[in-house]
Amino acid sequence: MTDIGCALLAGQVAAGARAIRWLDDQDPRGREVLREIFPHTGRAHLVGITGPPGAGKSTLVDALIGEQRARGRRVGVIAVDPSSPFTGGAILGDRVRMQRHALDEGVFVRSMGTRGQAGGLSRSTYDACLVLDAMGYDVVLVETVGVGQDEIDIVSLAHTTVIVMVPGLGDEVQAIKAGLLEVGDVFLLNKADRDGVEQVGRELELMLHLRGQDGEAAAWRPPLLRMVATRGEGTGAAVDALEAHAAHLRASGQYQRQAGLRSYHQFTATLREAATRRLLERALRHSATAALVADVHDLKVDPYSAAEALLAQTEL
Amino acid sequence: MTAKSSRPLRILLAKLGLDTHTVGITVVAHALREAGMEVIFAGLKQTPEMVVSAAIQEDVDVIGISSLSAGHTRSLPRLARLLREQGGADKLLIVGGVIPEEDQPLLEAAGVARIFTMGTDTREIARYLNDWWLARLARAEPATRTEPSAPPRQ
Amino acid sequence: MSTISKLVTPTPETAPGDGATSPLAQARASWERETRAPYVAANPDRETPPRSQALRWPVEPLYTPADLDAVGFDYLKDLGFPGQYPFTRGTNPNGHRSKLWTMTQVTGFGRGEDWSKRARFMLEQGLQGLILEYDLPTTNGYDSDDPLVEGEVGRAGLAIDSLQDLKRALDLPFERLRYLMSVCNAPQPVNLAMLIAALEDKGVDLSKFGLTIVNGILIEYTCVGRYIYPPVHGLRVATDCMEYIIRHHPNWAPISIISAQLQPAKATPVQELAFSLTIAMAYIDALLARGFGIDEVAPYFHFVINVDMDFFEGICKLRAFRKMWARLMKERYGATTPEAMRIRTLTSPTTTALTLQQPLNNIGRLAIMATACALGGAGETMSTPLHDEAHSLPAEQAIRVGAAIQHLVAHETGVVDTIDPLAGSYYVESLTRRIEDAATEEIARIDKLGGALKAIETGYFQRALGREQYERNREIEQGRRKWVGVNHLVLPDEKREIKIFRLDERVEIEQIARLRELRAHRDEAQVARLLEAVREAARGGANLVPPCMAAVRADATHGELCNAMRDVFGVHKPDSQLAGM
Ligand code: B12
Ligand SMILES: Nc1nc2c(ncn2[C@@H]2O[C@H](COP(=O)(O)OP(=O)(O)OP(=O)(O)O)[C@@H](O)[C@H]2O)c(=O)[nH]1
Ligand SMILES: [Mg+2]
Repeated sequence: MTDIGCALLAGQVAAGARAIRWLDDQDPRGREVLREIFPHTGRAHLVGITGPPGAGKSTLVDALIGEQRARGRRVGVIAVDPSSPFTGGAILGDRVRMQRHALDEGVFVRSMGTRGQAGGLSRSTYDACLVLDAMGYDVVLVETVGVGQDEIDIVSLAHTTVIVMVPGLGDEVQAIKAGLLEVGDVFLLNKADRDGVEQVGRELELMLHLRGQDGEAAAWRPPLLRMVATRGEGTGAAVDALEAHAAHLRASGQYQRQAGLRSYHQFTATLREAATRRLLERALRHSATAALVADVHDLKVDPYSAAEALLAQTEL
Repeated sequence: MTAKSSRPLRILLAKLGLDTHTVGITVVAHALREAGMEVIFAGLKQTPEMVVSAAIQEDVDVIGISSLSAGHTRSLPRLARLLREQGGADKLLIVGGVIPEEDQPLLEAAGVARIFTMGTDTREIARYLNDWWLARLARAEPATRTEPSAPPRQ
Repeated sequence: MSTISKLVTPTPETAPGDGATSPLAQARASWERETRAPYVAANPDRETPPRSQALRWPVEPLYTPADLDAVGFDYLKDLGFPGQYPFTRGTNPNGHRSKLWTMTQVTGFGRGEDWSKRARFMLEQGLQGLILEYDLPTTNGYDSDDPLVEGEVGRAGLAIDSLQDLKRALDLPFERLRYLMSVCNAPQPVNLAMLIAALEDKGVDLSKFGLTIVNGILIEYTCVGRYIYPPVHGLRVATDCMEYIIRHHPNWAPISIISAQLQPAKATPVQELAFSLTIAMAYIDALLARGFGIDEVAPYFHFVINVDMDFFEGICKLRAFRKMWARLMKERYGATTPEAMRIRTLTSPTTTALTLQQPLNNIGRLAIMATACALGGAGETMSTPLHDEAHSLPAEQAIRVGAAIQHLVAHETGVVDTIDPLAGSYYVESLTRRIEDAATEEIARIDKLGGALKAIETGYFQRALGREQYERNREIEQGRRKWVGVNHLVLPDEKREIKIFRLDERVEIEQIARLRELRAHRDEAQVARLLEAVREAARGGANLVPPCMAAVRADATHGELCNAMRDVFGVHKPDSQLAGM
């Protein structure tokens, strides 16, 4: 086993941090470590935290860390912020709100840029979760970038998806709500100290009620909880809800299934990317297929026919 | 502005002690983002211990401290020492702000690699970091270099 | 009727919007066509178009009465007369002809005795007032021996742990000190209690000596950073101090809104006006809620306003401040007395124009900005930063030069001999109005957000400043704005040409030793009891100043008192000030 792999499994912070870096940077050493630690994963409860920009996700994560620590759990956090599509650079600012835990040895906070990935996460967020899992963190909280309705990759990653809502977002949020409503396991109505909570609360309750009606009886009923993250109000109930959901998943066998699904998702994503790259590399080496690729750029052929032609020529 | 890299430099920016002059650190953060770097913000009113711990968790390549209220002669040497003690000696430590030339030898001896004062063009800071980063990548084993993640465009 | 009002009185021919047909518009068009355009064809503008410094508003080649029409300028409504509503032309009926401004500078470092020695030196240089800045441990509510503040004691201001320290600092020739402003916002009740006790012990007649406390906690949350408790509690603490002073020392100034801290954080003049005035409204509302009337409290409000190098933005901002305050008091609050509508100000050249590079050039900048202050209306007091600003705290030589600058502007230039000499300038009047109108819109926006406190709590002010910081810096770096020594006339391998102030680092050790000594010789049980009384007041809502006063007299320390309030109020998280991150 590699030194980093050993150290990481022993819970060494610097080793885990370096492994995540390699995975994030697509350094081949990262894959090696991942292979080593994979058998030691599967214990941590992965919780996704998503919601509109500025909803208070980071503040909430900060509060959740505090509560989980009070209950004796070790907490890992992955906080994702958008990378610039033009320069690849990023300002990763979620950590600021969690810095009071910087010296707590039971807490590990890692910031990541999306690095070109759509969907609210980075390509390596899943890998980073595996690392934290293998390091022995009991709970891993993943804060996504502030999302609209399509950016909900977190659902396939986490055991439990938390949707953070706030009052006063305006009309455009109806759409977001509709999208997110389908996928949330726990709803937190944050900034309950603000005007308009009652109204948003009622709307959400109604929508959740409607959603609840078409499920089976044994299905999980997503709770809606009010919070004031800045003051830590409602944190206890929120953590209770996370735990109840984990228990529900375990009891119904979905916990394991969810992990399998997640792994399968990652598997297909990896395949998709690698296969495309290899296919293209090979195509560019042969003049006939290279010409086909060039035709796509020159708009001489529509992309669908070109893809079909290429697949046919490579006998796929 | 550098080309998009699959291996961007990661830098932690922070303010130590009670100094809350924020203009410099704000413009530097934006400039480094524009130069393709990942800037992790640790925030205001940090202790050296908090910064070192964050730097290790984030596995940053560089720690950048902004100091304008004259606390640097004590806080920076302490930060540099903690960093060495906790296995972060490979990280580059740089500083900006109000640092009189009289204090520069002290900071350099403590392990501060470079000091930037008022009026420095942020592109110069980015260039300095970029050169340092490319040199470091070149020194690393070639095996660690990664293939481009997107197919080359015609 | 004056010439100007004759020119701008809308008549059917010259009504705004219909300018093309007026004789003036025709004359102007023909000047453009026949005289200016051919010249500009051969000699194009150096920049297109030139923009003002902070607002970045395009500046026209020429302003005429048509620009006054465009904003609906009306002499009597917009200007009036000096000492009369709306005070645009100044708050003093005789300008500076009877009285010059009180000449002051900022100072703070070291222990009490270090500060006192420096203060005496300053008063010998022709200064009449002092602005006292404390070190960061003090303004953030820590004692000097707190492990958190190691290395910061006495460094950026005066270190105060106990009443004894402040008494050592205030060892001053009070007969020569016309003005003292204390800048210690978050721990204001403790600081105020110590000031009162120290002045009493010195035998100063409190009814004759005018003390100004800044007490400006809301701007600390916005862009300065010396806060302790969360904003709502910060506001309550500030209101206690205002109330105490109004009731017990009605000749003092209990609140100063330092717009001059928003500006260095890169607020535009419009933002400065809107943020400062809405912040003032938050304090006013808090006082009205305690049963005061507007005519009673408005005269206590004081503003510190600086000007940057853009002469006209600075001058127009000063004029707009006076007018907007007057209108706000009258129209929004229903004030009835002129005293309530008359703004009190301290003006100053800004620090942010001053470069590290070629520091002697800053003397030129300071003279220009101090002249702008005088032309825009210096108000009751002026303060000048110094040419070594970007290097360190002031050296004695810089202090002397800074004091001289105020005197030479006052005595050698003639700008103070007539009142508001730039009034009537087409550019000045139209820019004053445009700034006022834009600030009025911004105030409406802040009102919608629920006022200044909400704007601070939600980070609105902070984000707005962050955008300006980024944009202003880009302008310099891209060379769109020249800054001598930084991106223009740069000296390669410049050597520092001035001697700078250096603080003796032993100050911290001595200050800590003295604090330990103090704690060893006091009645601990009494201190504990008095600290509990402060907690009690904090919990219950009684005014915090009296229990603080009792406690400082028993040598409870500054940090202990702030901690007692922390126990009740909690602490403000230090992330709110990060603009745009
Ligand atoms: C603006 C300013 C303020 C504003 C700050 C607003 C804000 N939110 O930032 C206000 C008015 C609030 C303020 C307050 C105070 N100030 Co002040 N302030 C300044 C001033 C005039 C300019 C600073 C500035 O913004 N520069 C513009 C930015 C863009 O430049 P910069 O920060 O230097 O950054 C550049 C480089 O240094 C470098 N850089 C900076 N950080 C970093 C970090 C990294 C990693 C890198 C690579 C580069 C880098 O890159 C930047 C781009 O070129 C300076 C004097 C000066 N010229 O430095 C005094 C100055 C720093 N202040 C001073 C003091 C004492 C204070 C107070 C502490 C006073 C007091 N006793 O309470 C207060 C409290 C502030 C606090 N809590 O810390 C002193 C410090 C004395 C000293 N060091 O010996 C100075 C030097 C003035 C003086 N001569 O007295 N201040
Ligand atoms: N009033 C109120 N403000 C809150 C609450 N929770 C968070 N905030 C504030 O909302 C702002 C945004 O909080 P963040 O935690 O950064 O929000 P976020 O969702 O992580 O933001 P992004 O990561 O940028 O999408 C901050 O100013 C918080 O202080 C709350 O419960 N009440
Ligand atoms: Mg966040």
